[in-house]
Amino acid sequence: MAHIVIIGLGCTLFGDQGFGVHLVNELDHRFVFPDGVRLIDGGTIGVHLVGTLAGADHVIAVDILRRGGAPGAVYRLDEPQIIDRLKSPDHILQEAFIEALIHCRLLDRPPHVVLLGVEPDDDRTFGSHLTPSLADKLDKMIAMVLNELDGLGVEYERRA
Amino acid sequence: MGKRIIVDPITRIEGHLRIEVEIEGGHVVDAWSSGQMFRGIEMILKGRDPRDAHHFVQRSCGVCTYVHAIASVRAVDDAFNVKIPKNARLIRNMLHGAQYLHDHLVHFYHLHALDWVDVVSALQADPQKTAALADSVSGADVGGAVYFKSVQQRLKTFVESGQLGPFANAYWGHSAYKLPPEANLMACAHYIEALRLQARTARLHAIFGGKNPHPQSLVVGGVTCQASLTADHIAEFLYVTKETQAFVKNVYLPDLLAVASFYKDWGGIGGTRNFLAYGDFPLTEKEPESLYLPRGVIMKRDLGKVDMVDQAKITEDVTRSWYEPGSPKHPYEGETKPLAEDPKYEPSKGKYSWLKAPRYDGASCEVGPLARVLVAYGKGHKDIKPLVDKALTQLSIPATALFSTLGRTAARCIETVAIGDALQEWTMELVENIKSGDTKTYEPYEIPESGRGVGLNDVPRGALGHWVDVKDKKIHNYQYVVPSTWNLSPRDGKNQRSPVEEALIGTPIADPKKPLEILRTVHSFDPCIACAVHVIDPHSNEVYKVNVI
Repeated sequence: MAHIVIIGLGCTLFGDQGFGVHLVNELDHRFVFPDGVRLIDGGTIGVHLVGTLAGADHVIAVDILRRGGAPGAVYRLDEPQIIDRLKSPDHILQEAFIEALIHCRLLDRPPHVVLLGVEPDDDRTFGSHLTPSLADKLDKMIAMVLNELDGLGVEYERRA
Repeated sequence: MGKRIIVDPITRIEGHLRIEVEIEGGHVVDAWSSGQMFRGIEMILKGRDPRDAHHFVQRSCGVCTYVHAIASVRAVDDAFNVKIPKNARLIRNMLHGAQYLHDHLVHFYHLHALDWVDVVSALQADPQKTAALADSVSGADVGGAVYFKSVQQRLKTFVESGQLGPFANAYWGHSAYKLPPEANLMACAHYIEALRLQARTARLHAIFGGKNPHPQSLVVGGVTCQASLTADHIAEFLYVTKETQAFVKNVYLPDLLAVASFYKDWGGIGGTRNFLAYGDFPLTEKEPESLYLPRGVIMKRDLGKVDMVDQAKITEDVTRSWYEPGSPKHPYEGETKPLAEDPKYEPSKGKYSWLKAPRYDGASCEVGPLARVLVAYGKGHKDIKPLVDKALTQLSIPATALFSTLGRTAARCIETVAIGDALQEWTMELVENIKSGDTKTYEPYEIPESGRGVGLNDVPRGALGHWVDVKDKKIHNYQYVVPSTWNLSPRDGKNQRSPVEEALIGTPIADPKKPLEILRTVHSFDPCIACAVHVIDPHSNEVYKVNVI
């Protein structure tokens, strides 16, 4: 089966910026995925993510995205739109992630990538928790990730 | 007054560093280094359980998460007065050694090479001649005219797609690029091979770290990966280490020497005077005596006199940094009090950076691969001295050429070769120790009511110290002084320049609008100021915005 990486980006010390990492942890708590699916706390790593991304067929990344919506608005970006974020990344780790993706393209078989994002409320104040408007969106975003997996024909189970 | 150039931001991947230089007659005559972000991580550690600190601090950096974790557990080990078991020491060394292999490979090929290698020129290369060149200098296990032609085609597609990404920031065609097209193509091909390899090398951390990024197996008192001490896991670690080391010896070192042979003038550019190494990789319980990379300090380039480091002589000065005024303080007494008002950038005589200015015995010191290799060389290290001498002979340059940008870049490769070999020995030592029946990886301890601890480490970017002060079993004060702060700090109360400010003076600038030469020296320090400072303005719309004033 296809090799799929679900990766949360961002620093969990900056409130909403840690949304992607919190989401990946929630997915891990709630579901059991088959062997080909890896859940990654991408955290604060930069170009070194190439090692994590390069071998995958599909990458589903989750991060905050500032696109002018209300806090909690959700988005789905495809590959050209992701690369385009390099002009105005939402934080330095997102920039590093995109550069890692570009590096993957130099290799033989770059992964297919989607970026699922949520409009942040406060991603600048120190703190390890999400703001209420983003904590409320975890379920919605989990549904979006599962929808991607459904599209790829991946079967998974809810934990008891 | 000469012409001013500001390069902002300057780091290729992480962090925001602003460098301002003044040039006269085609050379840099003065320089200012400014960290443009504020790091407040120390403030959120106050009042927390010291055993949790490493989970926080390893998120302060975008490249070297492991190194802050190890520095933190070592500081807390010290504060709790706990002696870790032999297996824990070996595994910590193995994870740390793996970090070096991975980090230095990525730095040379993916963060620094394009300052020396012109991708666009590689498109003009003759693949046949490139194959002949590669055969003569490199032991890479891929090559041949067909291979180089296919690499050239891949690069061409990449360049034409307009999505250069990390390649978009360089100054292709600049007169300071000296490699012939064939050498450029060979280096670009190895850039791709190194990318392929580092994807596997990154797995080393997951074997005994539970996961990568952000390995989880370190704890105060030892490591938690006892269940991973199986023949399968150790064999996998050894296999990937050997695979990586084969590339380091057969490709990285030959590439370094091949590229350096075209840039020997850089053996006289970008040098500093004082060098500080904490050393690392304890081979027994005795520190610093048993450190594989030795501890020492060299002042005024005197390789004949390597003094022992006394950590009590470390202070941080904030005279020119955006903090409330105060005298230079040792990290145990250190404060993080940002100015209440908006910071004003006043490089000429005022404050101009979020970085504090660390000093040793009052002097500014370079840290990192060059400092470590010079200290080892000065002490006649059994593995490193022969490697240095061989490189000097092969390039026909004197030892004095080590005090330079070229020396800094070469030192990084030389220590990678030494550590990669030693890493295999440590792995075998672990095997022997387990065979002897010792499977202990953790030493239980009591948390003291109060105590102070220090973790002195030498990590890929240089000397990294964490200091923790525990009161009522909680963190009362936590300070860390990171390599990029040593190298990239602003001036201090005595108006002494930092290593990078000193190193830039005298640098030739062919075109002030394209200051490629500045990037070479700054990148040679492997700046990663995501960990020296932290985010204030996450919006950065352009990279390498060069303003000429």
